[in-house]
Order: sequence, then C-alpha cells, then structure tokens
Amino acid sequence: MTDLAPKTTRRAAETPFWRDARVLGVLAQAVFLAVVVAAAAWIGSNASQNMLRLGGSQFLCRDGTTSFRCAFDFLRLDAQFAISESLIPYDPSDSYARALAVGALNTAKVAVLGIVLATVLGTVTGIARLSSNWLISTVARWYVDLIRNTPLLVQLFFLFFGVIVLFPPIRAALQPFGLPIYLSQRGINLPRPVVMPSFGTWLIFLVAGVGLAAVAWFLLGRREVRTGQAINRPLWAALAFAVVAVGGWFVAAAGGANNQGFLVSDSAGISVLDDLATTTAVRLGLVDLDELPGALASGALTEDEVEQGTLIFCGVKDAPAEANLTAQLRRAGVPFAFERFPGPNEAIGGYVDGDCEALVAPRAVLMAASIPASTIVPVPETPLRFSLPRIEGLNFVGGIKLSPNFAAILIGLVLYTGAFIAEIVRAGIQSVPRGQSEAARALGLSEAQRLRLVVLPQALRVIIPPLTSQYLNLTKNSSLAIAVGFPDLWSVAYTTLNQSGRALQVFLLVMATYLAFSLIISFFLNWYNRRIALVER
Amino acid sequence: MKLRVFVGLAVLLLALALVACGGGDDTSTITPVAEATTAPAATEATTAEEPAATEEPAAEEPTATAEAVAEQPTATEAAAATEEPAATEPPAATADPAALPTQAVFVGGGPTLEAVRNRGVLRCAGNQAVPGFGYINPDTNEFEGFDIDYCKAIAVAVLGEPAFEVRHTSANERFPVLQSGEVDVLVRNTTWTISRDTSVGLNFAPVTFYDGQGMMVRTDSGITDLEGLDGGTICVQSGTTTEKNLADVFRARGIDFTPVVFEDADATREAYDQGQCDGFTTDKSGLVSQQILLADPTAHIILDETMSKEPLAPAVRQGDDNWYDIVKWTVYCTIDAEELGISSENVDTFLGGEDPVIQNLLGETGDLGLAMSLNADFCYQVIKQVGNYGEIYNRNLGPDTPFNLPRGLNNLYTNGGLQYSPPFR
Repeated sequence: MTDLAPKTTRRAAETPFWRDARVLGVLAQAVFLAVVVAAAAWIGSNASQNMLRLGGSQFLCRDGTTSFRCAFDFLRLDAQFAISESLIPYDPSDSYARALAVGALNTAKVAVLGIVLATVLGTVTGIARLSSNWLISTVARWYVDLIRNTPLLVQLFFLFFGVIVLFPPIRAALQPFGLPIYLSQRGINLPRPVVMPSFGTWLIFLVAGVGLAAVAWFLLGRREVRTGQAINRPLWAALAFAVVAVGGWFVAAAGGANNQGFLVSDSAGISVLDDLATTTAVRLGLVDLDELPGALASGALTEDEVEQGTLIFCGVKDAPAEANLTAQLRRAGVPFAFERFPGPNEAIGGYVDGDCEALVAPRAVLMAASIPASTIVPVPETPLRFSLPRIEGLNFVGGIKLSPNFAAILIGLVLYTGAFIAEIVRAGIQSVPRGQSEAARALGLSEAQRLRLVVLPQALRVIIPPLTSQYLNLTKNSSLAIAVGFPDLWSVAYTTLNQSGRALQVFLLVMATYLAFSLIISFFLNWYNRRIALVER
Repeated sequence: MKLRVFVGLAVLLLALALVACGGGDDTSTITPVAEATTAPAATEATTAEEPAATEEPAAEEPTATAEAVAEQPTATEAAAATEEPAATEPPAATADPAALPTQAVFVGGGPTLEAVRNRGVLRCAGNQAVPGFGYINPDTNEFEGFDIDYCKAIAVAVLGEPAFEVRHTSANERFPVLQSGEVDVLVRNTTWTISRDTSVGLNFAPVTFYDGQGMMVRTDSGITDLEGLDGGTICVQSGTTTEKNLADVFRARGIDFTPVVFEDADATREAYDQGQCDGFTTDKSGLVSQQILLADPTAHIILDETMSKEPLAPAVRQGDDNWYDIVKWTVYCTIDAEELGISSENVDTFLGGEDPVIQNLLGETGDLGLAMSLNADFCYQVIKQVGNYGEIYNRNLGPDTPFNLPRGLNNLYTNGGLQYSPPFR
C-alpha cells in the first residue's frame, strides 16, 4: 500500500489532463448534455417560431384572449363529424375530446382483442412448429415465413380489398347453417344479448351459483387429496353452477312477467299477446298464421301485402323492449314492423300522432304515458333476450355488427403479430433443456401435461421479455387502421387535426395516448415477468 | 482507459459537428442550410447590378420612372426593374415577342418570393388522385390537371418559365406542409373556409373553381334523394370538409347514417365500388372525375342535391403579403384575360395595341408587376405559356375531356357565372 501510493501520484502528475480518464469522462458528459440541450432548444425554437407564424388563433381562449395555457381549449368545441363505431355513446354534436376518447377506446379494443388472439395463435403456431408431425410443422413454418416477410400494410389491403370483397353483397348475405348469423361485404352480423330488467334477479342466482361451484371445487379437492382418487372436479363444479343458474332463470322470468308490454288501441281487440297472431291473420285474410309461408310460396300473398297488413310498433331505438317483443313474435311466426325513435317521449308522440298502431315500452313508461282508450298488453320477459339482426332498408338493424373494417385490422394484426410470437414461443420452448422433457416422460406425464406443467412454465421466463415488445408493436401498428377505414385513435385524430388546424396539439395528444398505452402494457408484463422469474439468492 | 479516451474524443467531435449544424439551422428555419448559404451570394449579385441599371433607363424613360417612384417611394428596386425593354420599348417587343427578356433585376419582395427565386423552382402541394384537377397521367408520368396548371401559372409569373415541382399530399398533410414552409403554395382542390383562413393560418387566393358536395349512389339501388340513404353506409375521405358537411346535413335532416372513413381517395372509391357503402360523397367535381375510374361508370348516378358550398382556391401561408398578392393576381390574370378575349394563341397579336386596359394587363405600360417585385410582363407570360381561365378549364375539364363538366358557376360573370376579376390598373 505504502509502496503504491507515491507511484500513482507520480503517474497522475505525469498524465496531462486531456489524457486523464476522469477529466475526459466529465468532459464527455458535459458535451453530451450540451448536445441534448442544444437539440431540444433548436426543436423548441423551431416549434415556437412556427406557432408564432400561425398566429394566436392556435391558442384562442374562450374569453377571446390568446395564451399558451389555452392550447388545448379547442378540445371543448363540437367535433361535428360522425364516427362509424364507438364503445361509448357518441354524436357529431359531442366535443373533440369525446371524439378522441372514442378513437382511443377503439384502439384499446383492437389492442386488447389483438393481444389475446395473437398470443393464442402465436403459442399454438410456436408449438406446432416443433411438432413431430411433418404436415403441421411445415404449415406453421410457411405461415410464419410468409407473414413475417411481407409488410403489414400490404397484408391489410389484401385482407380488406382482396378477401372481404369476396363475401356476397348485403342482400345475399351468407347464413351458415340457418343460424341468425349473416356474412356479407358489410361485415358479420350476430345476435346480441340484451339485458332485461329482471336480469338483476338472475344475476343474484348466478353469483350464488359461482359460490356453490367454488365450494364444490374446494371440498372435492380436499377429498381428492385425502383419498388419492382423481375426481372430475370441473364437471361437478359446472353442474352445481348450472342447476342454480337454470333455476334462477325461471324465478327471475316469473318475477319480471309484468315488466314489459305494449299499448294498443281498444278498438284493435287485442288484450293478450296471442290475440296479435289472430288479428294479423285476419288482416292478411288467412285462417291461421301457419298458412303464411305457404301463401307466400304459392303467390297468394306478396311480400308487399304482408307488409301492408302487419301491425307497426313504435319503440325506442335499441331498447330492450323491442328485443323482448320481437323474440316473442318471431317464435309465434307473426310478421312485424318497427318505427324507431330516439327517445321514449318521441315514441309516445309517434303513437299519439298515429305513426303506428302500437307502442312498445316497459310497463312503467306505458302507465306514465296514460293514453286514453288504450289497452296495455303484457309481454312475457326473460332475463336475457337476443336481439337478432335483420335487414331493414339499406342495412341490418338489431344484433351486433362486426364491421369489415374492424375485422380487417384485427385479423391483420393478429396474423402478423402471431407469426412473431410463434417464433418467440418456439425459441422459449427450445431453451428448456431436453432433460426436463425426458424427465417428464419418465414420470409418466402425458404430452399435454408435459407441455403445460413442465415446459411452458420454464419457457415463459424466456418468452415474456420479447413478448412485451410484440404487444407494444401490435398496439402501435393498430394506427394503420385508417387504411382500411376503422376509426381508431389516429383516424379520429387525423380528422380532428384537419378540422381544427391544431397540428402540434393533436400530435402531442396522440403521442401521449400511445405512450400511455405502451406504458400500461409494459407495466403489466414487467410485473408478470417479476412474478414468474426464478427466485435467486 | 484508451478506449474511454477514444470514445470521449469521438463524442466531442460529434457534438461539435451537431452544434455547428444546429447553429446553422437556427438562423433559418424555413430554408435548408444549403440554400441559406447561397442566398447572400445571390443578393450580393443583384445589389451589384442595381446601380448601373438604375441610371440608364431612368434617362431613357423618365415618365415611367417617375410614375414608379411616385407610386412606390421606398422602392428604388421598382425603378431599377423598369429598365426592362419590354416595358419601355413596345415596338421592339412587337417585332420579336419571343425575345422578351425575362431577366429583370429583382430586389425586395417577401421571403417566399426570395426563397423561390433562389431555388429557381416553385414548390406546390398538389393532388395525385383526382383526374382533371391533379393526377399523374399514366402515359406521361407527369402531373396534370386544373390545379396543376395554376401551379404552373404561378411558376411562370414568378420565374418566367414553368419551373415547378408538385409535392403530392394527402388531404391532411396539405396544411402542415404549407405551414412548415415545405411548399410555397397549396393548389389542391382546397375549400376556402373561415376556420382555414383564420385558425389554420392560411390566406386564400381567389376561387379557381366553385364546387359543391354531392352524393353518388348505385342506379339500381333506387335511391333518388338523400332521405333515401336513411340507415345507409356512406364512404367518405378523411380530413376533408366533406366529413363535417355530411354529418351536418344528415343531422339537420334527421337522416341516420354510418360513415366509413378512409385516408386515401382511391381507397374510398374502391370501397364504394366494391359495395361496402351505399353512397359515396365528395365534391361534385371529384365525383365526376372518380366516376370514370369505377368498374362500371354507367351503373352510378350523382344525386341532384348539393350539400355544401365548396369554393376551391389556392392557399398560401399567412404573413407574407407580397407572396399572397402574387398568387392572387396570377389567378386574376387568367380570369381577366378570358374576359378580354386574350388567349395563349392570340396574345401576341394584342402586343403593341391601343387598348390601355390590355396594355396594362400585358405589362406593356405601367408597373403592375413590378409593384409585386415581378416582371412587368408576368401576366403576358402566364397567358402565353399557360393560357387564360377558359383555356385552362377546357383543357382539363371541358367538352374534349372525359369529364365534360359544364362551366356552371365557373363561367365568367358576363356569362352568368361567378368568375370575376378586379381591374388591372
């Protein structure tokens, strides 16, 4: 120690400062800082000069003054453009802020569904690539190679303009197996479950059913441990749940029997729902409605005549009352027509004005309306009704619609990201030493058990970190949605930018939103990664 | 240790280089560095020529100079530019109009004019997807169209020759590229609205085309009016006033609709053509030009209803009045020329004529161009090289084109239209 000390001092004295590592280190850092500051200052001054050139109108406050504080005040203005699909109610008279929220939610919808589906597809493909079955592994390899090596935008255009167009036009929509599912150029229309007022009662039973299933699961598990005999726990738990749920359904339906109804003029002679069938039959000149299909087929009645003869109902757009009534009428084979209004008051007004012969609404609304010379006909209710899609005018009404634009962006992103995830999964599985698999086989585990209990848990540690960046990629790539007409965040922001002229503000908002999405995803995956990481001492 | 020293030095060098570049850019945010450095040289050259130029013509044509000085006292350059023989010696000009010198001594003018002169090329933001207005001709791979001709006219007015570049922009890009100075003028079927004029920071030149938003539907759909589209799906291009008009008109009439919004005009048309939508909306001029690109143009009709006023006009950045004047009067030049019956074919016969109105327009007398720091004969060159309004219209949209679009509102006011130029005097 004493030997070394003078030696180092001498060397330090000899070393000129420009060769001293410490001085150079500080200098390098100072220079780097200066560069960063200079770059930031340059970008900042450029932006502010551009802003000044554009004038104070960019920062208009509501009181007419201009200030940088008010840069985002324009978000409160009316958006004045329509958006084709939205998770929250939206109208062109809503604000830009709400329009952007609609876009952000649509992006989130694509991202969440895309991540789930891409993970499933990627995992399956990754495992398939390692399959000993030649056909499966070759198909998986071709899929991965083809998708990974072509641009996403090209794939999206191909999907949208090359595949979805092959579906028939809306009038000739495909209906697989006669189910109420319609495939057309305009997308996929599916039945939509509608929650009726008595759903609340049923929900209590459902919760109770889940509780019972949990108890059964727990008790049977203990028995399994005690006796050492395998019991089909999922089956018993499901059975317990099903019994409670089915029982609850009938109880709830009975309780809600008087919740729904329709109002019809006394002169129509309808007092119970079944009268509707007879009345309609008489109007169409038939003895029984069962003859209707035959009459239509033989040409005795035309579609137009049936349309003339059907009872027209007034109702609120997308209301549960309509789904409840149409489910009943469809079952009874009664033809019907609807006149839809934006709210209950408009619907009542429509009925009073004679736009239609009956008014369908919850019983409470009908009672409150108190229209003279009318009868309230009760319509039986079940906790859930399915609103079925049917063509009215130019498009489908009722049900739920998976738009072709959404389908294109979702399928495109899932296929694309799935290919990358497949490779990550394959790499993860191959990183697990062979000895682990051999040991699992030696223990007599089945192939599925080997994969689920031995290989995948160890592979996950390798898979999760690169998977995070694939999830981030998927989320950010969703901004290509505008190419296929899906209103995601970027698409809405694009219109907002053009209408408001606030380029800088809109870009900042969009960047901040994507950043937030990315941070949320990486937060969850980092948390999960820490949880499954090997505990090291 | 050696490595650290090396890295330290490398960072130092890199930093110096960056700071140097940054400093250079700081002085001019609009013009790239290379152009900024050439600028002083060019200015010097012009200033050097100036004194000599001022003397000679001043002696030869005292009246013209006096006039110029009276009208624009601060501008010696105006007087300097008067030396141009075209303005001072009409007989010579008539004898050989092609020999008109276009090289005047330019001093002054706004920053945009200076930037264009230094660059030697005008940059326009244009469209490439609207046949008739702005599109790339597949046979020649050149930009062509009504809007492109106006870009050309501005280039001729400023530079004396059709030296222009078209920067293809999407509907949304067009304002940022103009605001950022990437282009000098926006001539891309852009609707003049108050919000664009004020909060987007643009100035609009006179309307070159009066348009209105229309709706195209399939003939076999049986739809005859907008109400027939209730509950329908409508294809619309994003980032246009079209989107807002559609929402406004349909909301006002209580018509329910679903918009399907695409970024690209081609994608919008394609989606409609393939049956994704019941209707396709854009400006009527756009519908006409898109119709010929549909698979079966005869299977579609454009509804009679017009949903909006769409005055399409070239636009420039706010804050450079000189440049704004130049674009404005270039457009008026074409309109006035048509009104006076001057076309690219007969313009030379008007040179040296007696009519003072025409002599003013063609720059034979007066200093109308010089006050904008242009050549006195800027309008003559525009008419000669590009044509008058009617010629530009007929070349791109007239009866000999597939569009055969009636002039309608775009007729001269003397023919019942709206095209009207303030006088050139």
